[in-house]
Amino acid sequence: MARHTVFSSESVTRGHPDKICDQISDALVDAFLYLDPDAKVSAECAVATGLVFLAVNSVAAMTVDLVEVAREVIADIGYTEANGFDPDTCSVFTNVSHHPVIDGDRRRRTPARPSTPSGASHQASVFGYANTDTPERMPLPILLGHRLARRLDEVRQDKVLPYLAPDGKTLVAVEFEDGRPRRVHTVIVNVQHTEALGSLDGSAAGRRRLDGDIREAVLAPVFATAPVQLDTATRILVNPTGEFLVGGPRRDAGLTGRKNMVDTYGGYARHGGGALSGKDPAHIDRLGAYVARYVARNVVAAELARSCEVHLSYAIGEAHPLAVSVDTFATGAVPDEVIERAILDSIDLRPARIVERFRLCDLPVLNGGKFYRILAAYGHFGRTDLDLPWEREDRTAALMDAVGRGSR
Amino acid sequence: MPGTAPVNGSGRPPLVVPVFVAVPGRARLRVAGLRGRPGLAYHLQDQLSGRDAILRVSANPRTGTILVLFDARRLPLRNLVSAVVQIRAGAPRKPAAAGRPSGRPPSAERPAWHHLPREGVVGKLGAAPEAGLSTGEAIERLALIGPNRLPSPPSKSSMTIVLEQVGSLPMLLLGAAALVSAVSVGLLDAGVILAVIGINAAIGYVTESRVARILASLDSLAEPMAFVRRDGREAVIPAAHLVPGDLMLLKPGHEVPADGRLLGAGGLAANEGFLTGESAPVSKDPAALHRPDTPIGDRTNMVYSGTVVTEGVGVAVVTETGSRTELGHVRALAGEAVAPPTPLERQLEETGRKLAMISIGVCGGMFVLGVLRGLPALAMFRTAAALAVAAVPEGLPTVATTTLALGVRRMLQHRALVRRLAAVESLGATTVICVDKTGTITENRMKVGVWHVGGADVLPGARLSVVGADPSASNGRQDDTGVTPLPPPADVERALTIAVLCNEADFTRDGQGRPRAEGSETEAALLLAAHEGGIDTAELRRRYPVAAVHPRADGRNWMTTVHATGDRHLIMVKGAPEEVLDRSSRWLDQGEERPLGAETRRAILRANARMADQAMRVLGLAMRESSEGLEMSAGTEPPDDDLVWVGLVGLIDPVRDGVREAIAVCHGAGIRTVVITGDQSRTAVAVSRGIGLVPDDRVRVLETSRLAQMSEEVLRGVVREVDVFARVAPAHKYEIVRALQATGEVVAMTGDGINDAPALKAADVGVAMGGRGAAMARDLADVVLMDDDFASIAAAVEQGRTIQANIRKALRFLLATNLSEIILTVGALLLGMAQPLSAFHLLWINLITDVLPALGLAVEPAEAGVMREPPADPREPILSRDALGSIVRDAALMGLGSLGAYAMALGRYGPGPRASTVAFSTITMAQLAYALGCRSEERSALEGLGRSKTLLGTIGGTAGLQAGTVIVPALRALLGTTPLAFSDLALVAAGAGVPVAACEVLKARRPAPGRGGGHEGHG
Repeated sequence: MARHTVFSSESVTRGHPDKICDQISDALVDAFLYLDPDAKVSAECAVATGLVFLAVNSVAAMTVDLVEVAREVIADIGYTEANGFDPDTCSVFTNVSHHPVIDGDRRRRTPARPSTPSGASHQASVFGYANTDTPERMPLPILLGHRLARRLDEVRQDKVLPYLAPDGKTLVAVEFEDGRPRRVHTVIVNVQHTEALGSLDGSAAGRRRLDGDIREAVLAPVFATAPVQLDTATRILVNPTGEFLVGGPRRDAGLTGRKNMVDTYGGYARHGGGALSGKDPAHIDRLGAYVARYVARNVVAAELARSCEVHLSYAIGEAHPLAVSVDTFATGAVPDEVIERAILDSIDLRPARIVERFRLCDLPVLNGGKFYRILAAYGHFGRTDLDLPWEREDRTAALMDAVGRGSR
Repeated sequence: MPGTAPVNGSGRPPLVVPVFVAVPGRARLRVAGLRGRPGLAYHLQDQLSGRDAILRVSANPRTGTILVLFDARRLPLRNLVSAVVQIRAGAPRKPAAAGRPSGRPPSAERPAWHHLPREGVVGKLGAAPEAGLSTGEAIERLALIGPNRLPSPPSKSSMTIVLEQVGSLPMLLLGAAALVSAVSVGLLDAGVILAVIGINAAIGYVTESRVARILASLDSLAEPMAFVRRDGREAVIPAAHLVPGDLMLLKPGHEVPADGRLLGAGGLAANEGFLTGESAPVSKDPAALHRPDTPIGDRTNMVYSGTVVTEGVGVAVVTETGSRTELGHVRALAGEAVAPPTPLERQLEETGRKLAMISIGVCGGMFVLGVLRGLPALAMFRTAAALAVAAVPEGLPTVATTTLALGVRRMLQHRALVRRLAAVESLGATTVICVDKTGTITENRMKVGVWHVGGADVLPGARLSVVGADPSASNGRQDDTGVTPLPPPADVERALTIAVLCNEADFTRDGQGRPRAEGSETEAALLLAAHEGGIDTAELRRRYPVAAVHPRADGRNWMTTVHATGDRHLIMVKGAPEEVLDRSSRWLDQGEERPLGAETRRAILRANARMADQAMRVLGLAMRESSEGLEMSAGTEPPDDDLVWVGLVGLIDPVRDGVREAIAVCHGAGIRTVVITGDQSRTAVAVSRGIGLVPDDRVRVLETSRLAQMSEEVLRGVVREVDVFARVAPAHKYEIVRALQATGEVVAMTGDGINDAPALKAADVGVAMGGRGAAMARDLADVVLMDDDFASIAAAVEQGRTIQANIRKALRFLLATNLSEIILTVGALLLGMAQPLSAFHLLWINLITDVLPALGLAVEPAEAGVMREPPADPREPILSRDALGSIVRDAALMGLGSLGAYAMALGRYGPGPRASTVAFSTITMAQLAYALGCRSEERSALEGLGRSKTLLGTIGGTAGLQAGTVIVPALRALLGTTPLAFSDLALVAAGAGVPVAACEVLKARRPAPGRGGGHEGHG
């Protein structure tokens, strides 16, 4: 008897309050790294009605115009005075601590940073995951959730559905049979809209229009390329609670780092708790999560497992992780301990080496000043729109060699 | 309309509800929707004030009510209410009303001028767009409308000052005592009491009126002039003579004399910061039309009185004059902000009232007790009344006023003029100082701070051969060696050339014949820097005459000039670094044009960021040559792309000398400094860092152009956490002050603009800048800083604290000594002894030995460390429970010491003048010695005694007078005293000395309550 399970993951659009904060935080990281790739930044953001809070610590050759960056991000998302968040006139509270450095003088002036350049900046327990659900080696529910969210933003910004507004959430529940995706169980789309749509009551014109438009312009193109399809039994809920006129920070306050599941695997794998956005990529929370995903993806790509969760523990100041543990959920081609050993043998997990190999600090420069802010929406993993170093499957051969299957 | 309960007929809540109408001719009405809407308040005031039989209207958007003074015989209340309802409901005024002799201009309705096309405005105002008004017409209109002048606030009359002086409760009680004495006891007693009152009032009057005189002299008498076109000719007339319909001519640097609708303009821009708080000049466009509800700052087809033309020229037809201008509107609002009483005012009043009550109670009790004991009622009354007079702290206001007045004089030496005496001690209690960045923290002038050419920073100098480079500016990553070679002088000269040619400023000579640049501040600074860098700007401009100018515009943050040179053209560009850089494809590096790569771009942006971190305004400079024959017409876009990047120039508004130190002093004194600026956050942060605004370098900035829209709770929540308010309009300072006050802060606020007025008035201490401020801001401020210097504020705070401490010392002295007299008198009564002190003794003590040492205490120099303590909590009483306890204890010691001496004298001489003389001498001597002890609450009476010259003088003098009472026969006769023998003197010395010594011992043993650091060094 096959075992049927349902797993759901949510994603959010760029205009979701928490996501606004993530994007502002990462835009600040970009802005610092673009002018000074050695900059150390931590940028926390919160938004509320008409108000942005920024708490930024930086150690860099210069500062950036924090407020201008924040306003630009809000405008870029598509917020206006009309849909609830005026990028030009919202108030911005900044709490700034900056330590200027002159070249070559960085380390001495850097407070609370370890002296060994290769050591971890903080302690961290990070997880990475990959499986064979999709070519991107991502769990299917979160991947579909992201695609819907991205599509919602596209049809809004391309004026395909001109009545849509920036705030929104999606959720995709997938039914699995023996751990493999079978069908789409439920799709929920909850999206902010303007008065132009009309009433959503009962069978009002606005309701019919929204349901039809979302199915046609959002769901259809997304599921056209999905490994599972909508069927007649799939529940499709579009704005199930009715009107969603007031959205963004006017409806809910937002905070950087509160969409950790959206940023990672949609709850499909464990999470160390550390947020990704708003930290320079040399921060162990961030690079740890990236390298753990890199390891997991390479394990799956090397066909050592169909599903792989990698757990790395870093201690502050120490270069090598305290521990590497792997769970393949009984899908492994070899025992988990063998994979663990193979990882340690074939991949350098020292933070400084990872920063160097992935060129994490140079990515904003290499991408014209906008990299992490793009990453901050629709998940940090399994992206096909960005060339992400941690998605490269370039250690599969080494891993296979290490487990002795290289010559298979 | 039935009765006084007007309704609008549809059962909705009434638009207007009478609140207080009991007094005929005076009505306070609540108007629906008025609260929080200054616009409506203005509308109501405007619409009502011109009407027949209405004398004065004051609408208050804070209370939501309107107060109308009217002629009740001609205008029944009912009609007034319905008129208000009509205006509130937006109903047009009946045509009949316009016909009344209301003294209104032809345009009684005050249309939304910015909403009307030019022809409409001209027609409505009966203006002549070419020739202007005829002189005759203008005179007629002037007579009808009145001068273009804002009414000045009424100044304090001498009578008011006197009444304020004698109107306090203790003074009134003394007056009553004088009256009773006059009818019951004798004129001499009454005379002495009246003398006490008179001396008090005289000192107060003299000090206050002197302050008023100094103030009046501050206002400049220069009358502003206006350029107009009348009778087809240009003319210069006093601005007060402008009338609606006049054509005013606007020129750079001039203040707009009245509100007007633009008819024509050429590159006109005005700084409307006074009205809108926007520090950047606003470009004007006569052809624009705006919706009626457009905010003032966006009405580009209008110019407003009090704003300043920064560039370009224009012609405008005057739409409103005098108090009907937007400026008048703001001023009307300012009149409604209320100043809270200062902490000391509150406390002295309360203390005075309480003590007066207690004294009267005690003396009344004593009188009853004495009479019950069978003492003669009249003599008993005399003593009781005299004791009451002695015990009532009527010296308190005198001492306080004197202290404050002398403090005012001392502060004047620090170039701080105090307009309201009580503000001095508000300064002492100040916990937050809000200052404008521009002009107070900085000098409010632009100068070139650094050039960045060829990857190196070049400091501006007398000659450009003096070239310095900051190693941090070498864009390290960009070259291998880590060292950037200095750019050749020719490259720097190229940057200077662009700064001169792409520049509309001009040189003039000032009074001493020195060159002075005129134009926008930035361009003037560039021109001056080039001149100082050795460039012959005039020659340069002759050689490359301007063929075309493309100014900055919306979405085009740079300026382009085209210059002819032979058969070629030079294209010069100056503007926002990012945008100019985007238009550049090559850059000037060591005299050569090289392709501008991504790395160089980033290096330039990094240099730009670093300059911005130093609070500089940064401009990018670029140019190129063009050999094409250019058709330069206004419409075509100049070929300003594919440029050669030359460099950056950073302009800075330098921080004033002494600001950093003054802020550090304020930190030490537990006072938070909050900077308010129209600048963006980044500049604000950079300036704050430079002046050490926050000790730990963690600057907290709130950038908000819409402060008024923030909810009150949010604002109150953040206001304590904010060090800098950025992009804030002066009008919003009011909200900042109120929010800070709501969190319990005592707020000092600086300001110089008209729009600062409400905040200045609402602040606990409104500080106006005398040097450059508007007269109106000075009128409303508590303190005027004549040199606009922040350091003066810190000095003023120190004075304020010293004064407060001195008043506390004098208060302690007065209370303890008065109480000791009561203890002596009542103690004797209770012990069944004869009265130790006669009524004259008591009045003598009151007039001489009480007041003089108290005055001496009042002018004590500042105690060391006064600026190293946190500010006194304004909610704390001026005398803590602790202090009160020690005052009672000291008083008891002195009273009992005197009583002991008196008892011994009684034993020796029996009841009579001699024993009384011993008691009298003992208590006065004890009090004089005690005055020394009051010099400090913590330190010994003798520590640093040499500095207290005035106090020593008054004590010595008083002791001399006291000696006279036993030596000089006339005084002996008056006071009924006798000479004293040596043994008596020994008794007096013991009775006076032992208690005071005991006070000192107890003081030394008292643990200092949390006021650490007081003993380190002397300030």
